Amino acid sequence: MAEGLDENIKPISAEDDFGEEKSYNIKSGIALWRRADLILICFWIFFALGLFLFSIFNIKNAAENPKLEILIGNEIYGEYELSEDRTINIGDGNICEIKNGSVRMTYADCPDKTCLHSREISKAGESIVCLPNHVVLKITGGSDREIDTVAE
Amino acid sequence: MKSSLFPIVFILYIILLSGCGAEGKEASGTGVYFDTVVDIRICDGDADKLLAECFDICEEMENVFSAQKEGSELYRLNHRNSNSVEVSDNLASCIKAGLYYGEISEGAFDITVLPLRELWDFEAEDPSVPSESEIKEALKKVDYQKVHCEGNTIIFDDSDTQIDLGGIAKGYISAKLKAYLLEQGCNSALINLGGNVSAVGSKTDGSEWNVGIQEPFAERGTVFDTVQIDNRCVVSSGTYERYFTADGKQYHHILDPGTGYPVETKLQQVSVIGTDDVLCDALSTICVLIGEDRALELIENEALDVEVIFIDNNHEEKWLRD
Repeated sequence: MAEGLDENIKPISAEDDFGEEKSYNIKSGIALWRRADLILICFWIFFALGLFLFSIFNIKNAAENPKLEILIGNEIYGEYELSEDRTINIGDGNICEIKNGSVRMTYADCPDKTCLHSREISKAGESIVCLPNHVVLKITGGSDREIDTVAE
Repeated sequence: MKSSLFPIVFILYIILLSGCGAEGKEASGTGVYFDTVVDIRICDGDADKLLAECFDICEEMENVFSAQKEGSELYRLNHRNSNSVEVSDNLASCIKAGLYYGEISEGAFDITVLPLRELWDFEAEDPSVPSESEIKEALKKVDYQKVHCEGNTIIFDDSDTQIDLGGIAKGYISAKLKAYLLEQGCNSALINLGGNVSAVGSKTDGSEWNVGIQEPFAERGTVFDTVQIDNRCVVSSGTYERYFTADGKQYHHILDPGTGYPVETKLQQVSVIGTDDVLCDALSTICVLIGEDRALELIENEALDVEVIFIDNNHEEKWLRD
């Protein structure tokens, strides 16, 4: 491996040879460690650090930008930024409104109107459901949850 | 030399990654099954695959337990030709559990309440109070003691008897999802089955899940208290869930199989916290039906391992803790 660089350096796997030779081998090991493996270690550490920072950045980004996800049945109907005020017609049966970063159901043609009596939602994990029409409004993306879910 | 270095590098790599790796693994999804919104969040294991499997289980269960869905196993059982029917393991176990809770609640919890429930029809556009004769007629068909379960065979004494597992099926299904996830080595997930919350393990950082409890008669999503759970479930039942007003009187959906009318109770809500999803689901309804005093007696006599929160008409909160 390092032969030629120094006559005294021998591969670690050299025959069992006790005494002075051995201490020589350890030294040569450190020399090897410094050269090739240090570079490799540095590479891995930087690689891991880079990945780590990248993920943190991604999570932060997601936390700052919660989105409104609308489902009809089990299909995604659309995804909307909460930062932009707007009114969304969900098929013919429901209308919801995004205002100042919060979402509310403003119209439903269903019989029970439970969704119209739901609190406005803005935080990750919160949802409004119109069960008869199978419409679900759900906040996704953010990771700063105060409450994980609600028992009803 | 190299061989001793690699583990160090590898461990460093894992340590640096694990700070956020937990977030990266998460998968969550929402679906509508058996007329219920199912919300599942998985934070451990092969999250995407587990999530898809969980929804497959929900679909399978919908085809078993949905009393309204034509062609479901329960629907076929209710529209049977013979009074002795062989059913699947799932349906048999759930009916067995339902009969057991009928027994320990002395008939307050009755899985044969379907004719009465259909008569009241709380899901209707404009629900109304049925006439007394209609209620009497429907009540004749309600009696859980006319249902027997032998192995996987359900035997009915009466061809009019119909089963509704609404008060227990959600608990049965969430227990099934939980068991599946644990069996797959997943130790962090949160299941919300139409308001029944069930936790698998704890959060990935080891802390407990924070579950809000709906305030009775407030806007949906209004939380009056939170409970912290791991490996347990929280189920709330109450008069606020579904009701209508007629002639100035409120009629809620928790029907008393003795009278055929919504049960007269001082309780607005009961939340049950425990490790057995089926027990919590059934017991939350039973508590509303039999009232606080009898409920406390039942819990003590049967040595049920639960915590209970009672909310009465004055919004007073009372805890039963171990």
